[in-house]
Amino acid sequence: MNFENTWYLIEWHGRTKVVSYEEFSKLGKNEFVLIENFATHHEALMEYQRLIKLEIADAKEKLNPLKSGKIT
Amino acid sequence: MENVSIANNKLCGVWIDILNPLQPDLNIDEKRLLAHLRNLSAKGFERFVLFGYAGEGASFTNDEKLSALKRVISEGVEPSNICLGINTSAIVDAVTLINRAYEKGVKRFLVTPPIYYQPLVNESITDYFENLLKRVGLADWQLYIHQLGGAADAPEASLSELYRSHSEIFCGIVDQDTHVNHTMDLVKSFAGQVLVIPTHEANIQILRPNTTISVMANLIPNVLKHVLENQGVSQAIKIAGMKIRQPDERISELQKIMTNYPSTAAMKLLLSQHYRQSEWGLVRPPQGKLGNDAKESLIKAFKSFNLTADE
Repeated sequence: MNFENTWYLIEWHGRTKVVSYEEFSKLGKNEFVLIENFATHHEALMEYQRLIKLEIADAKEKLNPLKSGKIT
Repeated sequence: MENVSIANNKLCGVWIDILNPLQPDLNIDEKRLLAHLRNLSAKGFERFVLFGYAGEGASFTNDEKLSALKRVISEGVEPSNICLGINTSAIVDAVTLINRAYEKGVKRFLVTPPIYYQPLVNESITDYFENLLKRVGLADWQLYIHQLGGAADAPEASLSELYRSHSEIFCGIVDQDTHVNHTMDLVKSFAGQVLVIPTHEANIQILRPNTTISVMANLIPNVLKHVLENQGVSQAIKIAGMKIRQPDERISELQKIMTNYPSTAAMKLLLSQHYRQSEWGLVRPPQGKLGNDAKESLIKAFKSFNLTADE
């Protein structure tokens, strides 16, 4: 597969970010963790957005018992 | 398209027994399949078995397989990196699929013996493959025979006979049986003749093969690669990000999580958790579905497994 015009969703120093092939190629081998690769920037950003929304939903779920007073 | 001589280029290394994502109507989700192949390729794993055992190969028609094949090849997957599962008892269907995939550049085929009319005598199995080879009528392709275990296995006498008459095409035996002795017996019988490829990841440390076809590699390709390349040599080496466990222990842990569940459905559910895409959990009947309790239990176990993205 040719990755030259593709986009990468990576975890980099504890942060998730979208980078181009060019940027990705410059990263050190142990500097990042590859999450997914996408054919277009738009697809990569959409997935990034989706994952953020899921994290927010997970966080809300965790906070709900606190709100309802079930956990003190 | 890569133009290599196929004869001396047998399967080697980790070949991933690709799981097939489905749409809610249980048709193949080609877009999601392509995304999965793209992710694995980006991680350095570009050799795929499509429509094999984990890929629910026997549940899809020739047209469905060819459509998916066309899509993945047109999007950049090298045909030389594909081994296509052929799983039917209808010889014409098998021949048609092989010939049409060959036209697209695929030259490696994982063919299941006919299993519908069991038990079959040696001669019947030999006849089936002889007939298949004759009808395919090509010289530069590779036949891997898929031993599913038990009554579905092609008898060793048939395999020997096929090797004697078609050693240039019959390149390997893929053993789906989980018992290590089953694979060892095949290795003893066919050493130096055809490649014997194990699929049960937990047996790799014992068998020390050069090649494996792995369903777990859908999820933990780097672990499989590490175990295959460093088997028995460097137990102390750790994969970056793996805090405590050794790679072979990770295989055992994953195996333990999946025990007692239908393997394809269980692995797909785990992949759905990995990608956070519930659609990955769908299987096409007759694959066994997971009940709600099983799902809950598996998801809980997978969270404890704590998969890291670099595994």
